[in-house]
Amino acid sequence: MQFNSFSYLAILGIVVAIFWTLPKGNPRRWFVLALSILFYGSWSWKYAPIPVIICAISYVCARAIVRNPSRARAAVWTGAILVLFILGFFKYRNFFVDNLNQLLQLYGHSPVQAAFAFGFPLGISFYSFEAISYLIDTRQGRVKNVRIIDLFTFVMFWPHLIAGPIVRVRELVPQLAFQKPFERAMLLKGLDRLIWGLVQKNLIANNIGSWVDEGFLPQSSRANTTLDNWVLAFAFGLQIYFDFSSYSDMAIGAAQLIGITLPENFRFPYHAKNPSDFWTRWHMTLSRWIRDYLFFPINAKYQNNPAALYTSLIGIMALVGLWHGAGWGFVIWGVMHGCYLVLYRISERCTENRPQLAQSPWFLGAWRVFTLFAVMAAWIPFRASSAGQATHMLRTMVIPGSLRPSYSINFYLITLLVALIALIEPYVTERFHKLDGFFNRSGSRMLLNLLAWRPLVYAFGLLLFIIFDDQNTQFIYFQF
Amino acid sequence: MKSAPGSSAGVVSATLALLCVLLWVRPFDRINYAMDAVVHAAPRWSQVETMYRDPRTQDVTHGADPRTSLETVRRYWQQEPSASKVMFIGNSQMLAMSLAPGEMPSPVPDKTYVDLLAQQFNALPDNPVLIYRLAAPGMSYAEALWYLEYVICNPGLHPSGIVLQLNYQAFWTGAIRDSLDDLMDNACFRARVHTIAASDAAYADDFQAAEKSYIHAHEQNVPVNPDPSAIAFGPRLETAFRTNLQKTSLFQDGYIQKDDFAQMLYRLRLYVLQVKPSNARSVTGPRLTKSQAALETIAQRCADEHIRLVLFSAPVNPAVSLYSSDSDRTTYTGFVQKLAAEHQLPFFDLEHAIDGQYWGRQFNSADPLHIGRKGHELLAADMAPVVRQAAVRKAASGE
Repeated sequence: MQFNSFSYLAILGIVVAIFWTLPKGNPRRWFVLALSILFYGSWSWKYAPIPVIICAISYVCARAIVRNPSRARAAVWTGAILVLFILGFFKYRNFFVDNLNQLLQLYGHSPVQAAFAFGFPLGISFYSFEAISYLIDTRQGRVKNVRIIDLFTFVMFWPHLIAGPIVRVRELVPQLAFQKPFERAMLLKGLDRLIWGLVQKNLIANNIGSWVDEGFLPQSSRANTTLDNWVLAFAFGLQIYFDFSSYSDMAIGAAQLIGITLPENFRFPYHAKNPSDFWTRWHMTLSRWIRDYLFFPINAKYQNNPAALYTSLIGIMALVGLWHGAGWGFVIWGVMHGCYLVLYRISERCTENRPQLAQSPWFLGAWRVFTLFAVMAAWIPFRASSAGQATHMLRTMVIPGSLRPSYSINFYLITLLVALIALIEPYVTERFHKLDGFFNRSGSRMLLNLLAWRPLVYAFGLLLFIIFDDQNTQFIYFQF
Repeated sequence: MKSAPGSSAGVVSATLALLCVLLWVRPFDRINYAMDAVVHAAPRWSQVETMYRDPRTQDVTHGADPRTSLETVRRYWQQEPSASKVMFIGNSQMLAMSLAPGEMPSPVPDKTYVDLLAQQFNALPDNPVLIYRLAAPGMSYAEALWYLEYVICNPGLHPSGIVLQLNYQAFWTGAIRDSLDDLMDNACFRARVHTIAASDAAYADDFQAAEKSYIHAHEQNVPVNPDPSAIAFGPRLETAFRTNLQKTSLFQDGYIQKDDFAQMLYRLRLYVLQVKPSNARSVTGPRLTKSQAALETIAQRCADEHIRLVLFSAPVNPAVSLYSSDSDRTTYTGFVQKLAAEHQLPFFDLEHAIDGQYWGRQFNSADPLHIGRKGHELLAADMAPVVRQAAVRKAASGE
């Protein structure tokens, strides 16, 4: 059941109404858990046991950590390895077998077959990371005594179950007491996010997506000009941003409707000042997971060995790429980001004693422009159907060729229009908040807000969602 | 103020009420009217809506459901086994009319030049020629090839000749529209599409995309597992929900509002950015390569199948210049002449056949593609020799 499906939205309305009529505490908790299991089962009951098994593993290992602190390290590793094994089995099995077969063929051996033919349980990359973070946080003493129902609800909470945000136990579990009284502000905030998410997905991401699909067709990409490939890189960068951001907005919005606050996942990433800043704005809950559980320990270890640190950074980013999908294109994407981060770190070191240069507008501006173009270029291997296609397209982009447009002028104009939306988004959001403040200053203005302004904005958003409805379009991040 | 479920219900109710109003009033269409008034655009009636329809001589769906249309003409052609059959393949110039200054809406449906030719040649006493118009707005040459492969796979649709419209604008359109996918229900054609999709032809990925889209749609319609309980309940629920929503009149018109919105963006493009279809431009890159390759294959396939292929260069409004540079014109005309010479195809250059006074206006500027009522009559006269050339094959091949 997709977030932008009519049935989901109708059921969500009913669910929210029932939720607020239930007594606080356990009834609401059980209600949310039952709904979350149903939500996951709505795709396929076959995979519903997977998150349950991962929860059970985490629970048992966390209990072992608390009961026997001297064996905590072993318990964390056991839990993490089991969870990663399940993730690897479902997500990377075919990738591993394909690459192994290529190697075997290279040495003249016959290929092997994957032992089992299984599909891909939705959201497994997301809830696996949540389970691992729970184990590490328990070992580090940041989390204590999580009840089994809370742990299950934490992992299976439907708004973040399929594609994040990747939540921490200490963020969500305290809220799962469900003791909050109903507040109108929650409903309004929830609807703001939910409806903006629907508009982003149906109006923006899906429409630009059809052009991107055409440009990345194998034969087309061979004849693309330099201009075409750059515009395609920007178009896909905008498509994936609005697609994933819309999902996050709808997840945050749905949670808000029942009084739960989920962490933000995006903060206008294409406004980033440098590559490091980009990762504080793009898929923020994944970046902080990587930062806290991988980068910080490695940074501490190699503080005085820049070469090892930089290599590790590139390696970590390659793993981030692999987390997205079992394909070399994702790894190349990660490596490219790793290189950008290393480049920025080197630049920081070089300008450490030259604050004037580091703060000069042209220097800062150059980093801003570089970041935008470098991030967009990195989307090419992420989206390309093969490494060969990605290399060809990147080569065309780097070696200047024809700047003539090959596709309908509408493609370039729509990309420009969507880029403009991404450009003004922070300013519009700020204005919207200011307007909200204006409306909340007096009773009569609030009435105007509740009965005219907000319903009008919501109705327009829903109108755009309905007329651009396309039931066949999935969220890009569902495949991760 | 903190717990005010009543006011929250008010927000939700007001939203739903306003949504119904918006679905009913078509706000984007109203914006379009306002924009047209500001720039003094041509009145909407100048784009003729009540065109002549005859399913025996036209794909009346304009590419939206060609399978049904082609089945109709197949049955009709079977009734006239001795007649020559000529198919016209081209874009909206063949099916639309943009009234020129001084022309007023007609109380009877207007006929395009192909309709006039169909009427004229069908009435020939000795050797009638049945003409069929297989035209769709913005038809790409990959789509023209798609149609050709389909008629080759259907003996009842095998024409004596094909009249193929060539125009510079068509070289910058690409891909195969989803509505043509259903033709793949024919096994012979499906196999042919698969062969082309697997080839290294420049247009192969358009065929791949269409094949993929067909398979995807087919899988959705025909569940692999016949046990309904094995299908996840989410999609089933959504399908049931949508089926019921589509029964309501407000939701049925959703696609009209989508078109209104697209038209609004198009008008902004025309009126604000001044980017018009009549703007001169260069054609490069994949679409040019694909179009050229598709035309080469069309010529070859027609020769293989003993179909007389006749090319003609579509008329262009003298008020506009479509070529961005002389080299664009040279590339285009050079390619067309080379194609005709290499495959020994009759080629009629009608690019300058219609004077400026017979062209309509599109929005607030000259229409580069669509002609008025008199323009269609003049073009029908000019095209008569083209039809004779296309119909001549029958006698030569002795079919």
